[in-house]
Amino acid sequence: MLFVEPLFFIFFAVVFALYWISQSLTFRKLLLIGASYLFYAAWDWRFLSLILISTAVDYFVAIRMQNSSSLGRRKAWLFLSLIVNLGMLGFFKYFNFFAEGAEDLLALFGASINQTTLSIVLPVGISFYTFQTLSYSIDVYRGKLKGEKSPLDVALFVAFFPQLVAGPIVRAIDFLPQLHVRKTFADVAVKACLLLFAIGFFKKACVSDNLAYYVDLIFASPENYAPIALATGAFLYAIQIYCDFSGYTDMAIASAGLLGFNLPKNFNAPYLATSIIDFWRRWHISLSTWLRDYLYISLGGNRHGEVKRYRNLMITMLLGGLWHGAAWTFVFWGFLHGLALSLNHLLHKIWKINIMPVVGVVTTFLFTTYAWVFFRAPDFETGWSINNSILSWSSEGTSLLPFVLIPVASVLSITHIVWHKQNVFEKIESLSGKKFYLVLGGITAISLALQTSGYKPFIYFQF
Amino acid sequence: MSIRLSSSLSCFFAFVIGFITIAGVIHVVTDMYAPKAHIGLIEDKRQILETEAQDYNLIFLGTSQTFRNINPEIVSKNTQCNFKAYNAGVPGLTLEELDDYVQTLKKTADIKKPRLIVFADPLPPKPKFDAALNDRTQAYTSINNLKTRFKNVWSLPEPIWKRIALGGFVGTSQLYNALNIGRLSQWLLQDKYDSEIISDAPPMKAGFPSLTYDIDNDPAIAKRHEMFQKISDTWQKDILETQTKEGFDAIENIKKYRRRVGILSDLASRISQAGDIPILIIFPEPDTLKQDRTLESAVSRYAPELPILMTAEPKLFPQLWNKDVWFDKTHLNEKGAKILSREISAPLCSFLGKNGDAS
Repeated sequence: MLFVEPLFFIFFAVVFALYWISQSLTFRKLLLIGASYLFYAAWDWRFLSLILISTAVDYFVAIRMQNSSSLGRRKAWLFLSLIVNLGMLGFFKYFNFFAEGAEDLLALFGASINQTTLSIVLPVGISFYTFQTLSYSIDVYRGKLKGEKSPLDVALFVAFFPQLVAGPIVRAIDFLPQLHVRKTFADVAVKACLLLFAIGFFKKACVSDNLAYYVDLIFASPENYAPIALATGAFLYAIQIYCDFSGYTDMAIASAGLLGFNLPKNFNAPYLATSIIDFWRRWHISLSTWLRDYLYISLGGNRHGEVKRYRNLMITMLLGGLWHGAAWTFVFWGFLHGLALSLNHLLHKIWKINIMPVVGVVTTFLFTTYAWVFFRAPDFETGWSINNSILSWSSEGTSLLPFVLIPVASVLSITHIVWHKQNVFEKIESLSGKKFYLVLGGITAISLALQTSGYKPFIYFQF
Repeated sequence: MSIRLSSSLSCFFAFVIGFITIAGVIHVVTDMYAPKAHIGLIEDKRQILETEAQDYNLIFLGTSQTFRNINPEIVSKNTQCNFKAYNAGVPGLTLEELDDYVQTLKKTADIKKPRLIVFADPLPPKPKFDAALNDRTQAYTSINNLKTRFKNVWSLPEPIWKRIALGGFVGTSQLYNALNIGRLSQWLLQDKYDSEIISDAPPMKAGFPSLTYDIDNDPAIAKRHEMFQKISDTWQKDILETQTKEGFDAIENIKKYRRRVGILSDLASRISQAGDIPILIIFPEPDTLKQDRTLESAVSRYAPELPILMTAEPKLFPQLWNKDVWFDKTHLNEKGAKILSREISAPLCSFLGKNGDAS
């Protein structure tokens, strides 16, 4: 069930109506938990058990840590949570990757082991809800948060359907307090939520899904394409992945908002970032702050000198890359970003260079696009060959992409810049009731006409 | 409370006005300027009817049964009538599509050279959302066709709940069309959609496809053939042999078919008004023999002027009540098509002799 499918609209309308009709806080929670499990089961009901295990373990662990004054015991409970959550993530997502890696390593030394890979299906959203539940256990361990006594609250925190499968990664410290108060519909920013949903729908169904076809062509057989087509394909992928993921996030935040919940902002015009440091403050904010707070700082952060700072930064980005998928292309993508972040910090510290914002924006966008090629490529060699062909402007292929994509991409880019620089969202939202809905009706009509036929799953579902 | 309600209603109407205005503009502009999607076999045959129909004096219209059961070359072998036949059968043909074919034929009709138009009862819309939204259904979705679609569904001799459910699919098609879903995208990124079109037309001779080719090249058809092979012995024993026995003359309530006959009669009168000669053909389909007989009786009672070519009766064509001439439970194989085409040639010729000039 995707946010852009008619089935989701029916599902959400039923949940929305029942939720606001009911006055009972417990009923509302039970309704949302039931709806969330149903939403997840629509993909694969078998993996609901993983969510239930994760929920039960973290509920139990948090209560135990809360009641324990011994640091050793608290550590042991936290260790249990890490083992269970990371164990499930590791098994389902990384078992084959590490098994193959071990085989390759042994082969280097002339030894061989039997094929150990398993046919494992990756449960949708496991990386997201694992990080979410981990943040809960770690925050309770660190004393930032009390263990939640209500199992319903913990269950809803783990499984809340708007952000269950592709984030934003919500912290318990932000979400659990929202469950303690009974919300009223009057508090809901309906106009902002509806507009945000419409924008998210447009990004996903009209932009990302339409561009996906051309991006798939390029990455499936880059050897057939001329350098200009490869460069266009790389730029289109940069647009596709942004619109896909931020479109999902917009719809997730809007759906949650219509039910009275605030989810954190996950994107802030990342392609208008003036540096790579700035980019990571704007792209997948809930992941970058999670990695900062629970990994980078745990590794020591920037507290032990410059060398260790860059080491920690690189480890964080390498693991951040690996979080996206069990493949060396993702690790290399993380490495490129780790390197760029370190260089960015170094340049800033040593030379204190302030470049013109426009130069910063262009450079950062070109770098992220270069790195995206590895992120999207089916293997390292393909990514390398595409980027080499673009940089050397030479390729054996001669095929081109349709010319119409250049004006389409240009219009999208200009709209994106104007949208953010002129605060168009806020301007539309501030229109009076009738004018707002008139505009929303128009946006909806355009979105439906521009949406592609057939739906593609969100890119980030695979992570 | 009432202020809040009226404010909500006015916001809702503002949304609807905004939507309709923009959707209306998009609809008109795309209708005028956007190229139409190619919709496969139905379009190919329509073009042939438009440009070559005057070259034929015997044209078959209908669903997959027409498509698979009529071999025009065999029918044309009847030297007495000098038939030149064309099979314009299209799998899944619905009433509005058949209606369109009749309109197309009208353009090439010549009252001095009447053609024999043999048509079969069209199908209702498929009860699947994919089918309601696909390019072919959408190409035939319009306000003008909406009434025809509902007539097609409502006239079926089926329980009311089934007709209402089918009506829901008709409504879905219409809604999808009114919402313009994907229209601009299809126009802007036309090459993407063109590359996604897979021709559904196998090699054909005068509109008749090679089943052998289809079995070899279309996995869905190959699977269907395989499935039938597995059950054909039981089918022969339980259905075919039972139906050929004396005294098996079951029939349903004729009244249920009245509306359906009205539709068929209406189609026939439009064909004859254009100057051609209509005949309703009822194809053999052992599993629905009772319904086929009822339709024949209903036509005789409610539209006695409508000529029928009844081929579904086991006593008339006993050779067809043999599993070896069937591709599946609904369609004949090439051998069966050969038998049926040969057998109907003479009655068609004599009918043409009575009603027009065969040469």
